[in-house]
Amino acid sequence: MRRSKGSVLVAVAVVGTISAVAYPVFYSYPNRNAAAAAAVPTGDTVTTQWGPLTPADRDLIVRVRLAGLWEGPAGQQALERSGSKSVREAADHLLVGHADLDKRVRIIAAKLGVELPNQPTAEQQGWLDQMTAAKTEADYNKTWANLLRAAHGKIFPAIATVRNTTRNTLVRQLASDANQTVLDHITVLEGTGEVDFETIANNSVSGTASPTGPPPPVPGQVPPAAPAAEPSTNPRVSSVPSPTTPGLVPTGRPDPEELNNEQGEPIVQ
Amino acid sequence: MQRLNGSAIASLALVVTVGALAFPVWSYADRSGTAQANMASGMVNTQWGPLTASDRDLIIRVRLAGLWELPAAEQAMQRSDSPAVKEAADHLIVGHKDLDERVRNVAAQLGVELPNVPNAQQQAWLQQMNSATDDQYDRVWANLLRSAHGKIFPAIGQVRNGTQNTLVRQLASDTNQTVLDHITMLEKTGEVDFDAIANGTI
Repeated sequence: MRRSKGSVLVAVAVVGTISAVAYPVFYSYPNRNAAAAAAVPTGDTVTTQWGPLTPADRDLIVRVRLAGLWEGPAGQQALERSGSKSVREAADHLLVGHADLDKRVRIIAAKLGVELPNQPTAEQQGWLDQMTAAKTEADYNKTWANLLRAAHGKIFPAIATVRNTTRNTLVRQLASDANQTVLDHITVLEGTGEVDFETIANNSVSGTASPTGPPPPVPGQVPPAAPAAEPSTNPRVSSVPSPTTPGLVPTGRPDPEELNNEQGEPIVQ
Repeated sequence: MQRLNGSAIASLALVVTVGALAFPVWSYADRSGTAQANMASGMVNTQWGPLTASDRDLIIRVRLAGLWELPAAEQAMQRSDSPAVKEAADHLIVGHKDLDERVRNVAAQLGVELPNVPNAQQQAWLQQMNSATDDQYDRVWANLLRSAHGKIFPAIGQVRNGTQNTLVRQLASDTNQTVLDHITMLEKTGEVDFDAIANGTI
């Protein structure tokens, strides 16, 4: 009897151990991405006169609006608190760029019937608080530039994905405009000299970022020269290449058309 | 005998326990930190900052884009009657000649070996354009090119955000601008099948 009690205890311990080690393998590990999946925009694709409007399209509209809601105040604060010329220059770009994008996004959202938030998210509010809490000016500049650069860097590839896949003409133009503005902001934020690229790089990789890819260069070994890729004939061309001066991103574009009284209808066209 | 069995069961249980404990360690290939370690393992240092496998991948892809899009654009100049297609082809020729010059400079400075011929997939796209009838040509041409530009566009954004290399950073900015221009010009031909692009079927 004594012996069998001991065996039961051992058996219970063994079963307990096995289930404890099995738990991460069979339950929690496969479900590890559930939280991320839950954050994916939901809802149906709806039809509009400008083409189908998907959850991903609406997500971009809301994110462009949210960007303006926290970056406007952040830009304004930097003009008040920072004496650094390059930080003030970046703040200037943020204020001008997000005022422009916000105007565009409000027009588009009204036409498409998408409800926009009017307050920054809790996360964005936290970033503003971090900036406010910075003690010295040096600390302020670094905190300011890195929080903003990180946020712009995260949305940049997301804008590109929507630009590629959207079937909605209004969202397509918004994504093109946002691409220009965000690349400009990334560039001027980097121009402050405060950006910590290593941290951004470490935060930009996820999942099983594979170490594969083309082989690394071998020190001291010069790869064979690559001939220019050129047209074999001599076609008559007249356009100009897109890249302009390094550090300058063309963001000039005509003002968006205003909404008329009947919201949802463009005035011209 | 009885006792021997007990010991055997206990040892077996121990082995299973240790094995089960070790398994997740082996299987958690993408546990946090691994992506960073993988990135570091493909990285080399250069005077312009660390150069990762993703950086090199972008360099190669920009070069490859020029290698197949220049012949594609030249062909459209000859075969298409559509002014919008010819205009898009004009932008492709000018844009990729410019990017190719930039990418060859960057690759030479960083010591990255570049391919000199389009890859098999790109050659197949050129074949599809070659074998398209005159009626289908504009559509086949615009959609194959729009699809390729659309696929690389978010990848450029990733590298622009994550690179620590100043040469690659500028190349990614320049490529972003050129590719967005080409996407826009290709869409202006009126031939792009947006449903197929959205569904990933081209």
